[in-house]
Amino acid sequence: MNHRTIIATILILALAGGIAFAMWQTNDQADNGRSLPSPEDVQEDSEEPITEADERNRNNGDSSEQEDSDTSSNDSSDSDNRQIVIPTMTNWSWDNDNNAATIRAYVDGVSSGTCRVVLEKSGYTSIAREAPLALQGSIYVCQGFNIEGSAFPAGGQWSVYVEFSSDTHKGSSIVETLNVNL
Amino acid sequence: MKLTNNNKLLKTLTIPLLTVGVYLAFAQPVQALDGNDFDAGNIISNAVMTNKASMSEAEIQSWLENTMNSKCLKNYSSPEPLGDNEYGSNVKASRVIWKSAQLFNINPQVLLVTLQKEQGLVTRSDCPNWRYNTAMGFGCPDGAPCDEQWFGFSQQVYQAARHFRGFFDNASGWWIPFSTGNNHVGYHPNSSCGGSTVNIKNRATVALYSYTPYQPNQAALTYLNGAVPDGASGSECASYGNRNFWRDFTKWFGSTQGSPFFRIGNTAPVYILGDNNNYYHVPSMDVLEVYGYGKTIDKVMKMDEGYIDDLSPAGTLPRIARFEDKHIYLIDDGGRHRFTSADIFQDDFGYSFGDEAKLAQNLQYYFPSSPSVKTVIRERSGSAIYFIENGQKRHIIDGEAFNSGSPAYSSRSRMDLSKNYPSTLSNGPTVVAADKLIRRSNGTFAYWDGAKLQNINKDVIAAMNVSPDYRISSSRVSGLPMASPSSINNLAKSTTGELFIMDNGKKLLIDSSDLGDLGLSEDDFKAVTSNRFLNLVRTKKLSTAIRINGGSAIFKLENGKRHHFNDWEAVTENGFSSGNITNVNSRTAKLFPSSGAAVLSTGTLFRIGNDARVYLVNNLGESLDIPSRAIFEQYGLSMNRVISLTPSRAANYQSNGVLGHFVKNSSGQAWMVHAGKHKSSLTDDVAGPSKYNLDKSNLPVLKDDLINAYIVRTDLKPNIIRAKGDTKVYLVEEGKKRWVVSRSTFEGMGHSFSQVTEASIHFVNSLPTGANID
Repeated sequence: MNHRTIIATILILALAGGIAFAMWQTNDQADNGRSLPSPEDVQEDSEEPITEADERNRNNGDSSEQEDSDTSSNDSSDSDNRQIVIPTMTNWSWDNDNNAATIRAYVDGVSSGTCRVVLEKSGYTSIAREAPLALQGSIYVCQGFNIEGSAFPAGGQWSVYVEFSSDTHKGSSIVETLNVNL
Repeated sequence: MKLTNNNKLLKTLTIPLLTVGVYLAFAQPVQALDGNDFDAGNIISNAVMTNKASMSEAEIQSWLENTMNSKCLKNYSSPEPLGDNEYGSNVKASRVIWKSAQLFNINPQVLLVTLQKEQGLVTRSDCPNWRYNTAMGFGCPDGAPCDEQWFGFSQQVYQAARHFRGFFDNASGWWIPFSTGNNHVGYHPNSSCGGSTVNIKNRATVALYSYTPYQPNQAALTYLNGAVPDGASGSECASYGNRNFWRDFTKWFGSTQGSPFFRIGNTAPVYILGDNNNYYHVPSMDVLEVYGYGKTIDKVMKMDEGYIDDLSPAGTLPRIARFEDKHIYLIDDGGRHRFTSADIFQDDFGYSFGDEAKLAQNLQYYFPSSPSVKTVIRERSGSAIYFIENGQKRHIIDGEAFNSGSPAYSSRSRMDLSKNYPSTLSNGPTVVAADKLIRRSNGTFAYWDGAKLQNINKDVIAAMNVSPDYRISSSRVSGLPMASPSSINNLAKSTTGELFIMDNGKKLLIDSSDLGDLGLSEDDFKAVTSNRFLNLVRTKKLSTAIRINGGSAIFKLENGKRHHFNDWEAVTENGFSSGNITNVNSRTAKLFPSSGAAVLSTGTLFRIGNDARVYLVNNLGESLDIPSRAIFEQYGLSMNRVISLTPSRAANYQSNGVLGHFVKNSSGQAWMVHAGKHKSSLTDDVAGPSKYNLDKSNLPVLKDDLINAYIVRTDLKPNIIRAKGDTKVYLVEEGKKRWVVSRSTFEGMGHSFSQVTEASIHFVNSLPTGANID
């Protein structure tokens, strides 16, 4: 086989490949054109990805793509003029290995303040612990709480919630139930 | 152009063209991701999260440049992380990513996807500086400004990797908001959106939530590839961080669950971790496919050299596994099927405790919980159904067999398994329905009554004129339990004691009184319980006179032999008629070998070969010698009536006397035959004691056509005789001949010479001589 033949063969292959590719693309587009747009199709129209940064900006009420917003559109305020934030308790469980209650919480929309966990059981003195709020990665988390079993006067079901307080914000989480296994 | 330049051109053109060709040949539509596959409790596996060797620095760079053509990252430079939050001179983003991954044993793919999730830096077309400064969203809480102390691409990547590791390791002193087990995970930073309890199954997922503490709501999963349109249900509470992480990782790098299997670098062997600092070697692609990773062998995790140095080999990976609990599973098609009892595990599937691989507990999540092990299995990619027993697979041959069994196989729970699995089991006996005839591959036949197998002589099959129901490999029949007796021939005995011969699809019933004639005893008949045999539609009593295959020859069965009836009269003389002659096939006829002897009718004349002596068959089944030509002629016999027999054919007709003058016809009428084809009635008086003193019942029987042709002589007295050519006249009295010496005496006794019967000398001489009558 001489070299001209080889080159010609290669070019033909390339042309065939190109045609096949073009047909594949055409078919793909044609299929899309025949169908009603699915949720996925609608989203594929976006030119740029949806990012956490964009969402943060949107949630912060800032559409300028700048990162220096310090307000929360979800906040409200009460009579003492402190804005309300709701701490989120992520985990409340009894650690059998360490005989302790584990409570974890974070607070969105603030960058400083104090968390306070409160545990209550009817007929008993409530238990409370405080911990500072600190940034850990991308979340402001309460730097607590591990409450040793000896702090509990009785086992069973205890109500638990987390309060947050700062000069500018305050709030309390939803009350949950913790099973204390003494 | 020189040849060398041509070669260069060839290479230059060929390589990319071949690449395009291969791409076109193998390009297949990527299966669309489904948001419902998102598992909030297991967004990524520990193994994938921590697989720092998934990509080399060069592979990351190539991926950014060639695969993704990342405008923001492929050429971006930033200080090299050195550890302890120290940084060196500028290096490519790929090195920053790879180096951070190596420093904290985090999969660089996790970092790449996080760069996309937080700022879109992998794919976006605009690359403002602020996006690099907060590339990983590190220090950027929701609802609060980003912390500037963490600005900078390298610091972002480094700190993110460090935090992923810290979250993963549950680092001491860190207040990590999530842990494995039940957690409340919100849908959105707006707490009014609520959330749900999520059972987080591994530390890797803990790390992701601790970095971005929201899960996607249903709307976010429905609109998987973008944002929920404003106004659509759930749009206000949709968050995308962890959804996008899962989606982009899956699209770019495959399942976030990765592979539980690993190899060392680019070496071929594939391993899986055991439960005790050990590892199992995957012996074949088949096993890898059983575990569901055959098609994604390219996703097998590449581990560093030395990874298994501190581990001990535990052998090859079997198809059954335990994950650090009491249950043992059959792994098939990527799922784990639990053995629900030791009986199924040991007795049915033939495994022994200890055969199973003992794998690390967390690996069970790679193999979805699947229906428990059943003993009726179906090939998923085929139609074959098997019953598993004694460690073998028994092919259920058809629907009728499927409906057999107790309880019926069709009513039992069954499991679908890949075709791969049944092929690993040896073949047990095929499951067939009851009452079936089987032809083995070696040409032999058997009958299966539903519980036992009986071999059947092929002659019986032919005799029954039936076709076998199945043709089955001999080896797949051999395991069936055998009946006793283990074989049956065409002599059968029913459960009620009925004796019969199977012949051309009919039962030939045997009268026990005929057993002697048939040369059989009850012991020759094998007990059968088969309805297939017992319910043969056509039933007929077996006569002791048979035809073979509808032929004209008729045989008498006697003493176990068959004797040829020489003529129809012989048939009727033996009490048979056309209505009670049984037609049998040649196989039944073989039960009764030919004696070679003929059955002759009374009066038949025969000779042996060409011998001159002629015999007459009498009514006693014997023959009488015809002693002379004179007698032969006296009876008016013709040689044309004499048949020639072989000695064996005439064997049943031994000579027992000599033909005299006295015979009977078929109706029992007695005659005295004398010269000239004349006959005189042999009355009781003549035959009585005072005269011939004969027993009329023992007289030979002559064929009627002969006797009927004789002239009746009523004018002669049979008891007054003279020998032909002799003048002496005898009076027969009391069985003796007495010569009447004188004519006057003779006439004086009232006799006349015209009444004298002329007899042969032989006959006359044969009579005892009494006293003369003077």
